[in-house]
Amino acid sequence: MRGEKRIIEIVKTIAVAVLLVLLVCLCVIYMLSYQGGQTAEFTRNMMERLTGESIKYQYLDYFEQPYTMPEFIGFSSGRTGESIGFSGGEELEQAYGDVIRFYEELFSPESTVTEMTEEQGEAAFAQIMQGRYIYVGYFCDLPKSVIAGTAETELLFSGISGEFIKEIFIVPDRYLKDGFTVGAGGTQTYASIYSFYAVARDSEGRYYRYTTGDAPQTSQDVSFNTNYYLSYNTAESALRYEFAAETETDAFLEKYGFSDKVADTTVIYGESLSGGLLSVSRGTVDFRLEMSVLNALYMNPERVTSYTDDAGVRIYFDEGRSIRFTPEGTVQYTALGEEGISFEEIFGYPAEFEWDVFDYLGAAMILADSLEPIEDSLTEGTTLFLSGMEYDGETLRLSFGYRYHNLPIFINGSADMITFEMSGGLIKSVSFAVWDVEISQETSGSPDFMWLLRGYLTDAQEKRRLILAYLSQGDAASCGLELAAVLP
Amino acid sequence: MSWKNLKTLAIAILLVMDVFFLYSLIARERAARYYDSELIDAATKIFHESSLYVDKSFLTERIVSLPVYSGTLDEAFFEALLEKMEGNGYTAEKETGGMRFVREDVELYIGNDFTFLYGSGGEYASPSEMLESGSFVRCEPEDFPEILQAARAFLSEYSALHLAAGERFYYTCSFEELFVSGTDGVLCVSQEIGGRDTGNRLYLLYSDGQITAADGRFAIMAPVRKMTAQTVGRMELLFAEKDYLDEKYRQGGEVSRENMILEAVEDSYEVFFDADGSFYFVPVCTLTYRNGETRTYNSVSGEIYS
Repeated sequence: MRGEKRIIEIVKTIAVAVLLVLLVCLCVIYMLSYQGGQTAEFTRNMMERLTGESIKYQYLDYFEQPYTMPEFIGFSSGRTGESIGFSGGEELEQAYGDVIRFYEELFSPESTVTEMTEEQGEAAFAQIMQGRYIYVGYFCDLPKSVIAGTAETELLFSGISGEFIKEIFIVPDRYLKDGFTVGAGGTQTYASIYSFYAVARDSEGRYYRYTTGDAPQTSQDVSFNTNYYLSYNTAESALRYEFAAETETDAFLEKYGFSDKVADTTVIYGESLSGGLLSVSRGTVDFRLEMSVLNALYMNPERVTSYTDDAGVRIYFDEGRSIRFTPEGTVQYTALGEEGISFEEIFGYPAEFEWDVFDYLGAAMILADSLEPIEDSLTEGTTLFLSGMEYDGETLRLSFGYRYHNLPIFINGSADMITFEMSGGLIKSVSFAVWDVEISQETSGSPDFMWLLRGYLTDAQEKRRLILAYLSQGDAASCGLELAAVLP
Repeated sequence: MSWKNLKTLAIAILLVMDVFFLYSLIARERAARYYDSELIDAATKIFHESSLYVDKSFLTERIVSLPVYSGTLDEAFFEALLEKMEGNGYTAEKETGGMRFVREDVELYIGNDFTFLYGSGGEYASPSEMLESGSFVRCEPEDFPEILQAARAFLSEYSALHLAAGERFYYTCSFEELFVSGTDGVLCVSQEIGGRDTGNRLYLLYSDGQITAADGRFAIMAPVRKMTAQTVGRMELLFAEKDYLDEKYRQGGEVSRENMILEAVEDSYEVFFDADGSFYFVPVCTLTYRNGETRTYNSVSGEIYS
């Protein structure tokens, strides 16, 4: 009997202990469950960031368009009279594809870049122009990262930054051997193979030399080879040319200071070019267009207040933001203080990271594309291109212009058709004019380049780079190809 | 009170407390997993107001917790692939967004976004585009064992491209649809992970007794990581759908609303890519209506995917 009682007591003691432990465990689980349980490894923020990357892939489509396509690519065999180049068409795109392979090597982290003095750079340019080279000329100074990223979208994520480049010569360095290598169009070709380097210049006369990390070893490696000039020699749109620095001058040219007034890398075409005919006139700004612009610039037409001043300028206001529409057809969006069009609004996702230069470019491109007056001007053959890029450490100023078959259109002396000012992930200012660009079905031949150049020299005062372009006064008059003088 | 009685009392109190906490925990867990009937009734009434008819059975389960599978298609992957393919006699060429492999008259392109293109015998047709011609008739895959056999042989050859990383998690393939025109056939192969559709589809062209071309999205790199995901509730998704339908009605300007009768709710995956080459199979939820309309929501963000 006593034994039974003892066993019962022991069982009770064990039961108390077990129940106590169970209670403690349940209490702990109960409390933990209030803290939200297990933290998810893949959260909504990660999803938003991924969607953001998808947005980035979305605006890669814009980069595939010719926003940073060079205005000229030239190939020289190194012999007098054997220089051919492209200023438009599919051959320019194909030639640029070949150049990009060099960029992958020249702009890679393994390559080295050294700044040259002006004297060294000028001497290098003068020497290069006499030999074998590939020349690439851009319309304006572009950062190395933008050239690389917009040329090869995979390089967009490579974190390249660096120098501004306007012109670049890719030149052979050391002869290695004769053998198979990557030729024009990426095809295998048998040629003399050289290692290579590049010398670039910006519009302010700064020179840079790029040297690749490794010399080409296998047939898959990119090399400077003797194939390029020969491959493109037979192309239909190939243009014979020489640089101004290499041009033989006559008494007239010398009298009017050819070498002082024409930049050394001005491309002088050996034959007349034919281009299109187009006319540019002021577009109509009506209420419907104003509402469309307000919507595109993220201003709610139902919330804005507006008034028209004595000069006929209509101004819309909303919380530190305003848009001015002038009777002449110019449109100016301005945001004050912390206001502006945020990249979050444009891309549609919140950011927890610092925006990079491609986000700025992508935001500007997406917004430009959504503006009806700009979009309406982009008819067949007309494209937007990056006509200016300036950064003062805080504000990035981007300008875009129109090109017709890769040749720029200047209206009233300017190629900039829409300009953005951006800082801190906000678009602070957008300005553009409403133009109607009409393309004629007719083509017009341009006079001989040297003839145009002689006409230019008689009135020229300062040194300029001369390019072929469409020059319009915006008065609806028909215009063909002419010579435009731009800063070197 | 004696020590003996105290123990009895302690047992009683502890038992009551244990039962109380256990019940509370179960109730809370159940509330977290399932919607209560009153909430379901109220929600379905609100959905009705937008002509959205949702069967209560779609709403009992609050959250379907699917994991996210991820992996990386980086340089290392392509280098390993290159080595493997060169070992199989292919020559490789790096292209934008992927790699092209050529061996005699066989050409294969593998993209870093799971693009898979295959052509042989100089025929580089796109089977998915061939279907658009309308000359192919849909048939049951089981009725054409020779096509399935050729497809299995093709897939087993290229599933050998699965690198060592694919050991832990793996894809399963199923023959979804077969279209036949004369002696030719186009077989649609779907890829699944964890028993759920990934949205990847590969179209195989069967001609002259073998697979001669293929195109589509087909992952040859298996995920290496399984992550718990913060997914939104079913009710939240359906309210997002209601908002979408309301907005569509407002913008459409029509007088009456079409009755939208929800027939199926299916959870599957869609792939998202990160800039560093990582890929994520993220859960998505597809709502299918009786009128054939479908809409897919991202189960993590709760926003419309497609």
